Parts: sequence; C-alpha cells; structure tokens
Amino acid sequence: MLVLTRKRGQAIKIGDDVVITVTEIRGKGSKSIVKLGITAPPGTKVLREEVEREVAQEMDLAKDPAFDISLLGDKVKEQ
Amino acid sequence: MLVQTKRFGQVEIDSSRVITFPNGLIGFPEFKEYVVLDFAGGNSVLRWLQSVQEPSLGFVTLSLYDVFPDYDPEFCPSDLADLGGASPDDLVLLSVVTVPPDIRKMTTNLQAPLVLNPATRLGKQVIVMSPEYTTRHYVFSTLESLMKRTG
Repeated sequence: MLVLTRKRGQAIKIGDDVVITVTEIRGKGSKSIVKLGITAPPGTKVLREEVEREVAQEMDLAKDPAFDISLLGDKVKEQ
Repeated sequence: MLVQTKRFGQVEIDSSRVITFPNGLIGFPEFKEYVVLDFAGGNSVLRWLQSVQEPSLGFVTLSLYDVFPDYDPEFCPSDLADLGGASPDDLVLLSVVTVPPDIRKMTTNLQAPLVLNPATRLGKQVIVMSPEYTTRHYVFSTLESLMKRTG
C-alpha cells in the first residue's frame, strides 16, 4: 500500500480525473477525524468502504427468513 | 426446469425466467442465478427471490415501484451499463426485506436495491449514491396500509 503524508489543504491526485483533498483534521488519538473532499468525474462511484460490509451483513440477516407470515401465504404460486 | 427450494420444495419454472447476477448478490458472490417467484397469498408487491443453485438461499423482496412510487435514487451509470444498457424506465427494482421475529419491525434495504433488466435477464445488486436511502427502512406499516387499500 502506498502511504503518503498530507497536511490540511493538500491533495492527492489519482489518475487524471480524481483529486482527494484533506479539508479538515481534528481530534487526537483514536478520536481523530479527517475530512476529505473528493472531486471525480460525474458517475464515478464513491462510497464509504464500510457501506458494502453493512449491506452484506443485512443480506445475511435477510436470507432464509424464519417468518410465519400468514399474509403472504406460505406457498408460491404455480409458476 | 426444476428448482429446489428449502422453503417451498421443488418448483417447476421456465428456464427463460432465470436471472443472472454476474457478481452475485452482496455477501453472496458465489451464487449468480436466481428466479423471482410470486407468493400464493395474492400479495403482488412481495416476491420471493430464490437461488437456483442453493435451496436454502432465498429472500423476501418487494417491488419498489409498487411500495415506494417516489423511490428515485441516483444510480452509478456504470452499474446500469453492466445490465446491458436499458433505460431506467425498463428496469425492475426489487428491495430485499429483512423479517425479524417481530414482523412489525421488518425493514427493507433501500440503499442496495436489486436492479433487473427483463430484456437481458441480467441483474445486479447496486449500492445507490443517494445518502437518504438506508439499509434498514421500516416497512411494515407501509405494507399494511397498502394491503388494506388493495384488499
């Protein structure tokens, strides 16, 4: 992994079109927070990394539900 | 073809109804083929998404256009291109429902809908870019009032 040191206001460029700027740094130790500004072409997917993990956890809760939900009828229609 | 399901036993479906998710679902990348089954209880907004390969892998889903007509998230264009380039109006959107033991607390995942292209039979679970949609949106009362209205 490439590790770069940046100060507030400094940026990193990825490829030709993506710029990530450190806009704010505050707090100390485990409570420290950094705010990043991201410029990227329209349509570029930018996600907090944990979102996909949260969705995967939710999918795991949703799979094979053990519900007894009479309003559904616990059968599928003849297809 | 016959599809084995843990919940409903063996179900005969036309093989043209299989939908391929080239990336699988989020958290389940290894299972790529699914069928959407209707429940017999006459509830048309809920569907059962069944893995063709794994009988125990199935999900309750709801039709987003029917339950949340105002649902209009921002999709990443590359995600839609992966489905074979349909216009958004031609896509079918399903949202996975989590049913806890207390069904009044059931939630649906508006942040990561399943986007299906009926023309290509391709599907993708997409994380939308609109921050107002969450993975755990309470949906029981919405479904309840919808069912009262439609009988």
